[in-house]
Amino acid sequence: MAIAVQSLADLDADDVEQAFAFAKQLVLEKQPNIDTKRGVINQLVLGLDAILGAAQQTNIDLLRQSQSLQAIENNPTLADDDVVNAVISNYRLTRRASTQAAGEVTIVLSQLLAVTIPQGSVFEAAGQQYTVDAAYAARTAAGNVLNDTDRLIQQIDVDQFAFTVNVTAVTAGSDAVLAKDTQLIPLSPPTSFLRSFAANDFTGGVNAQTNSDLTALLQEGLAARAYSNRVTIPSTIKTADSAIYPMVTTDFPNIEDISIVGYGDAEMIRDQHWLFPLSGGGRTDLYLRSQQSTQAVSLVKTATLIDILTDGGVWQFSIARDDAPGFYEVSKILVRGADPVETGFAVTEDIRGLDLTGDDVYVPDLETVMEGVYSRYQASTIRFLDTSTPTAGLSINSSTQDYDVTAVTMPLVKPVQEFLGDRGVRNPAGDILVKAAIPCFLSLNFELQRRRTDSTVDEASIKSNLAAYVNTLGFPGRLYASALHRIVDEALPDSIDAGPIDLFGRIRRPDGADRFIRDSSVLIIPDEPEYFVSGRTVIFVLNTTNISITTNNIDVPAV
Amino acid sequence: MSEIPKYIGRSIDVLAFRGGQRAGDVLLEQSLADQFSTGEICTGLQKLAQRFILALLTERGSVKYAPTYGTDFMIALRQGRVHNEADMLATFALSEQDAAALLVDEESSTDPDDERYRTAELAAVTVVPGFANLTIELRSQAADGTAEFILPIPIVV
Repeated sequence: MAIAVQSLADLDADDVEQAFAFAKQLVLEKQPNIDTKRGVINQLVLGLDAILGAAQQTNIDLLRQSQSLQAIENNPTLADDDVVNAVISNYRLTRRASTQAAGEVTIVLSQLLAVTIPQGSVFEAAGQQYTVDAAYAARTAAGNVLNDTDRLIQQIDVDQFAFTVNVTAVTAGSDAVLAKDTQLIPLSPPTSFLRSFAANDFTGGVNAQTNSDLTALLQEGLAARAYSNRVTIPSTIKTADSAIYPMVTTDFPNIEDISIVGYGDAEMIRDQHWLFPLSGGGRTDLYLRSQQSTQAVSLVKTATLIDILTDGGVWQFSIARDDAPGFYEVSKILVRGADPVETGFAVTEDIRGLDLTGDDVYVPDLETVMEGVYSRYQASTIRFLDTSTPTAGLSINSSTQDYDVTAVTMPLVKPVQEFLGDRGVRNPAGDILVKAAIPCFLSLNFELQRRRTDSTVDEASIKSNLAAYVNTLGFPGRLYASALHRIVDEALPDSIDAGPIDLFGRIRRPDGADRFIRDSSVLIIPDEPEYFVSGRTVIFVLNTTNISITTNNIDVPAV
Repeated sequence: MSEIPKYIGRSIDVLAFRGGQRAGDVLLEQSLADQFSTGEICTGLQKLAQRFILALLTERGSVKYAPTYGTDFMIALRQGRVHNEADMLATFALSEQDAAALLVDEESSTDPDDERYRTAELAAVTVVPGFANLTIELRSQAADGTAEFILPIPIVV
């Protein structure tokens, strides 16, 4: 039973009193000659019956509350999950269960040595544990790699040899999602172990939907699965059937948020592709936030030396449209095999272009490069200054070298574009372009003032809660420091207080420029529709690594 | 004369302290039924008497959803605050006031006089270690000498 009063001592006294009065009245009407006002029947029969009656009524109230959408919306925390699940199923919604984060871990050895990583081996990082998915055998020669769990050890540097294994978080939820290059510590290191780190951003690791989340989705649940308006389009995407549309993945139902810009919106520029720059309609830009945070994608790119400067060589590589569809930026470039903790080389030029080739999928109307930035049609040429590779003996435009490249992306841009571009889905009267939501990469910085030196605070928990809050805001347009203060204050003991929070945001505009915003009370997304930037298109992205907390001990005069 | 006609027009209660007679000392049994009987119902003075006993012997605060019901009489006994007859008289006097307030609060002016509480006095008391014998004179609002003890009658199931 989903709902049950666990203890008769937990009932509300008013409820018992009401049930008592009700029982007395019922008995009095049925048997007027029984003394229901006082005495043995009153106390020992009706009194006890009232307690049971109140318990039953409490259950009925809980059940009624859980089955009423109005009651659930008014107070989702009181409604029983199982009953709410049953109710929302009537509205074609299913509660998303929490899932475990999973990803690849690179293990670096000090020598070329065949080792085995047993299934279930435990790695730890950021207070979370991860177990190895299978028994992996690291092989020293390609000829020995015979099945999926055999991994070839590759030399990545002098006396450094690496291979990867797949791991899954022990605990479900978003707290276990690791960023690329995060160090993991094995509880039982293999022979010649040097280090291990996340090869990519971990995927999965979503929290179960709360009743509040579900009630917010009721409109989508009820909405027709049709390409029609801002309610039905997300509903169409999230409930897409992979059996009919092969591009649909299991992540579609978990899409975090979608903002749709269309006719009449200042950010809609594509519907002005006529002789006169007037909006003609028939175009839709869909800004996708497929998951709470961004995702780093590892690429191996062969770069060509294009110039030699005094402090190094300028190298260039291309990122094709399918390498990292809709990627935001390149966050790190390392010589192939270098230690991922190194800073890497700075990007000096990021030249975006469009790749509209292919006739198997409908291609939306794109006139300028900026219109297609962060869409699956963008391609890019990246130039950077390699300050560590000697250029002596190298030839411009012919010398090449492999690099480990990390691109920051918002997943699902490509499959959602393909799904919405499918002839069976798209609106016959117009086209749709799917773009990753424009990012405002956020940093937070604040101090904790500690009056007692023995007071402690769980900074990791605060950071995690702050990131979870910011990354589930959808397209809020503005971010208030007071909301963040509430989260911080909840985690602080009485003897520790937080100072003002410095909110610093970097909006990477589609034209490639960084737009910085900073405040200690509220961050407001600027209105720059000519660059597609507004509260409708920009999301705040906060990683825990970008939250800085400084704890200061303060002396308070003795009183 | 049968007792049944005396119940006409009266409200009844279940007899919780069974074995009472019109006169004489009788050891009452606290039960609603036994192997020989399915229980009795009562009215009049008997109802008042058992209401008084219930109120007096219930420890105040022990009934979860009626925390003000009862007296401190049994609490005093349990905590060993009654060592002799004088202690008992004092304890009873205090508890009787609490019980009286509860009983009067339950009553209305339309109730029969013999079911409405007037006083209860400790007529005799004996306290020995581990035991206490109390003789209580209970009076209803009926004029002295006019109330009739109506015998409980069995319930036929």
